[in-house]
Amino acid sequence: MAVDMTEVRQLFFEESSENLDVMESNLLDLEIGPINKELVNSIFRAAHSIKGGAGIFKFEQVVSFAHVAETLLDEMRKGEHLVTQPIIDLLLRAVDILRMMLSSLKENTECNWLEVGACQTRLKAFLKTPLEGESAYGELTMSGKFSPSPQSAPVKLPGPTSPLPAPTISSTPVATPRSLEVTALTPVAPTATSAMPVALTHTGAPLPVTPTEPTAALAETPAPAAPTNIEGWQIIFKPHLGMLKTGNDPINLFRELAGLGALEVKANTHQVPAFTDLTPHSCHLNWELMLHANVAKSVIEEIFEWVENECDLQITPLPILSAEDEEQTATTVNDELTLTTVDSDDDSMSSKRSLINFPPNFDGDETGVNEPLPNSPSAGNQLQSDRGDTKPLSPVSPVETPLLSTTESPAVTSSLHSLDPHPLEGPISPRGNSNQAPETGSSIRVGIDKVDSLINLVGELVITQSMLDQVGENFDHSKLSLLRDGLSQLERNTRELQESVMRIRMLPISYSFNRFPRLVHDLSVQLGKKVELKLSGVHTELDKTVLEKMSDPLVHLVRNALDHGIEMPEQRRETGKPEVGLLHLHAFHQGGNIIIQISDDGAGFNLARIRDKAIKQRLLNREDNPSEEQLYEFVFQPGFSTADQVSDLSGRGVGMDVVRRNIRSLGGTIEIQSKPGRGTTFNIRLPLTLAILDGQLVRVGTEIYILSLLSIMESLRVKPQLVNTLAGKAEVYKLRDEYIPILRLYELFDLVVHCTTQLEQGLLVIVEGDGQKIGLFVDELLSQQQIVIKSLESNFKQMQGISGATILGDGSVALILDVAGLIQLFHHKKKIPTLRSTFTLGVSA
Amino acid sequence: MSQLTTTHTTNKYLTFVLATEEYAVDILRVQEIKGWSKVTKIPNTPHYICGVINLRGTIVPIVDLRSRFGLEHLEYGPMTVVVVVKVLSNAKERIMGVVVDAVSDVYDVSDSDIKPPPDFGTVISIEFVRGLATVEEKMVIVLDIDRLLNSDELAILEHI
Repeated sequence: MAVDMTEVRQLFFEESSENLDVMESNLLDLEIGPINKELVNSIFRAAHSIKGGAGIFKFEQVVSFAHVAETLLDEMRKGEHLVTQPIIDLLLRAVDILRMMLSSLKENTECNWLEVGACQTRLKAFLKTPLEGESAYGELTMSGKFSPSPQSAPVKLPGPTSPLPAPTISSTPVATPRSLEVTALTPVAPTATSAMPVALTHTGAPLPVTPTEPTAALAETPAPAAPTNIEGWQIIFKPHLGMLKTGNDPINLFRELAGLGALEVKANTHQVPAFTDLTPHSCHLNWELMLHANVAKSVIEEIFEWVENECDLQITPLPILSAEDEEQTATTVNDELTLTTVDSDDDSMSSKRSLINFPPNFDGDETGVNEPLPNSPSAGNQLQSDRGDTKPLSPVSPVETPLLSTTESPAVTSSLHSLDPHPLEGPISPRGNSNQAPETGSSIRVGIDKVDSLINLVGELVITQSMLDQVGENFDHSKLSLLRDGLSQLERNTRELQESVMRIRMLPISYSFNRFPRLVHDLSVQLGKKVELKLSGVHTELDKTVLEKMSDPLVHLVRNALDHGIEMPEQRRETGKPEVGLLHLHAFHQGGNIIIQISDDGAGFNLARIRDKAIKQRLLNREDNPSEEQLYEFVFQPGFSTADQVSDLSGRGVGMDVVRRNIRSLGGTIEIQSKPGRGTTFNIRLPLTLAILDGQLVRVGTEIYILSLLSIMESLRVKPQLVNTLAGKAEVYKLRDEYIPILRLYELFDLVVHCTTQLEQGLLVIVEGDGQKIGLFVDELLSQQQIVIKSLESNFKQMQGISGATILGDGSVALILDVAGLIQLFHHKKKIPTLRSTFTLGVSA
Repeated sequence: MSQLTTTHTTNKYLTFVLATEEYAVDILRVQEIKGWSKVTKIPNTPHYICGVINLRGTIVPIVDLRSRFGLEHLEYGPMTVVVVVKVLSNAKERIMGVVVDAVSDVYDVSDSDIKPPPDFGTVISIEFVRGLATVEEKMVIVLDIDRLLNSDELAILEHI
């Protein structure tokens, strides 16, 4: 059966690059000394997945290379090696090589095989036990038998004629699969094969990658002659109930099997429930298959590879029959969900789910929201940020329309990482859901919660539509108000849908930050400096486009900080600083902007030198006396560099101007703060017209305001005995051992209607802004929800204390409060000199 | 003087009523006319800024022209009209809404028919009046909405 593999290939490359990232970050986390099993295991798994995937696409060089790396990792986790810097460096190098190989395969370009070979040899040198079977299969490789067949591997792989150093490849274990086949097919095999575990993947042992046969099989050619004679195979295939949900259709598997030879299929229907209890999405059948073909077992296994986690599978050579399995483990519900399930067939289901999903106490269902977190690191984390403090007070009123969806089915609790192999079946399945495969190189991975909230919204839309439908039948004037309600609901649904779709584009900045540990590691080794990298605010969400455009400027600034900013260890010691320099990347929301700070504690800018250079380049007259800001301005001039010598890292004066141009093209600004000898901070300010905020809705009188959840420390009911006045005017609240000023929002905002003025009847929300704490007095807390920030400035002007506005579920506008601005406004209004707003209590606490 | 001279450019103007007076704005500046909807107040703004509304996803400030001109306040009701206009300020286009009593008509007015307003000294501010025009025997005040609604100026004009 001809399969269009390009989409799957694309997926493989994406996943491999993720796996490489995993390897890289875990390698950097490894500490010298005894083995951290957990980390090594996860590195191993990542390497293994790459090898497995590469095997499917016959990327032999990748397989062989990954195999060597994997063997080394395997030895490490068995405790045969200690973690040493050379090993870490070598493995990091291996990650680079793999990345290079994959990208050259992806782009159909030649890659540097010399480097691959060199690295592979170095890896092998570390191995305690030499790889088995090398010499025996070296010849095979050399004879060119393993060059890929053109049908299945559209990528041009270097054949034996490629400039690959011969000794390297000859000793690779590419050939070992063949040896596996042979053993599997010899009469000795049955004992081993009947004990075949559910999972088909071998760990540790060389993967049964068959380079030639499956190619032929996939291309529907008759089975090639197998090394030994065998009558055929009996396959007992018991899918789990949830297998269909992964988009896998058994019929496709059978068709592929039938392509190998004569196939008998017996379906076992005794587990099919009564018609009334039947759910069409569950697979109740299981099958007994007889394949009369002389093929290798691994060929069959490969066909079932995509469903290996969703079924119980037994493959035994004929005529040996294996004992029937015990009762199928029907309760094992598949814990994976792919985008594929969102097809037209599921409309009814999703609308049903959305009905279930909206219990009135939705907001209280915190656990539901939090549950998927452990499984979906990429998606879930940013959703729940710092809501802990306010939780007890939050469920005052239900969220009108949840943007975050609860997780009803276990299927939802997975991350999109489980997208893994299943999409293979997508394109070939008759229901044909091929929309998930990216057409071009750019794609986006979305947290399942976001997709789920979309499904919910679409479900709601369907309900609204059917409601309007009903109104439309036999319409008369009495139904006018119903129609109006329906229409406004429709409007709201549409808007929410729009916002949800926008949310899909938002990614946490960690996507960009995560590459820096490696960069810093490499550069500091290269430069001989000691640097500690600190990342914070990694869950701040940014639009994907902004994120991508920011990534080069950030790399440049980090390089600059390492190259020019942080000094050599000796120099640091002389100036009394710790030897290890600190580089801090920090991202946060401020006043409707996203701020990315890159600060180092290095030498700082040398203003005198900038001045000299500017004079030399005739940007400045000798008698001019520019201000600090003006001098910093020169740094952003093209061709301006204060570095004494040009290194391969920086110093060419190309860069800062590009950095600023990129940031400006996004509508942002960049500022420099620098103290000689103390360090430099770059502040990048990006507007966030698209940005999302976790907001807490508060009510003051009839108005609703929104506070960023991140700024809220806690909220509490006021105990009158803890309220004191200061100078007869300002009120302070004693919270544990601090006195916190009370800001009555209604007073500050001159609100007169229906406001609670008695402190004990309202709530005090303790917020922090600009390092100051203040207690905002509000009437009550409403729900928490994700807020799409709309600019107030675009049609109006910037207001102090207000960072923007948003549109609530009912279409009305609510203002987002900017805590730092509020505090300033408060001081201004109260005419209190900006004294330190919090001071600790000396004795009485 | 409804006959128009052809030598001058003629523009269409939308007129609206405030108390007893009729005001005109260039119709090309009018984006839409909508009914009154609930506004969200913005604290610490001049009294004539009613607040902001959500206009299909954009936040649009609403200015009450009655309070802007110091006229007596009229309760907002279902008949209250908001004229959404495009305002140019600093080469940037902003969308704003003005609350008026009622929309009146659309007239063709030639540029030459717009006479400069007489000088009233400092009694009333006329800087946002572009001129006076006579249409069908009535006097129509042609507004310069860029000046009227330029938010940079709002703060300054507050003191007049």
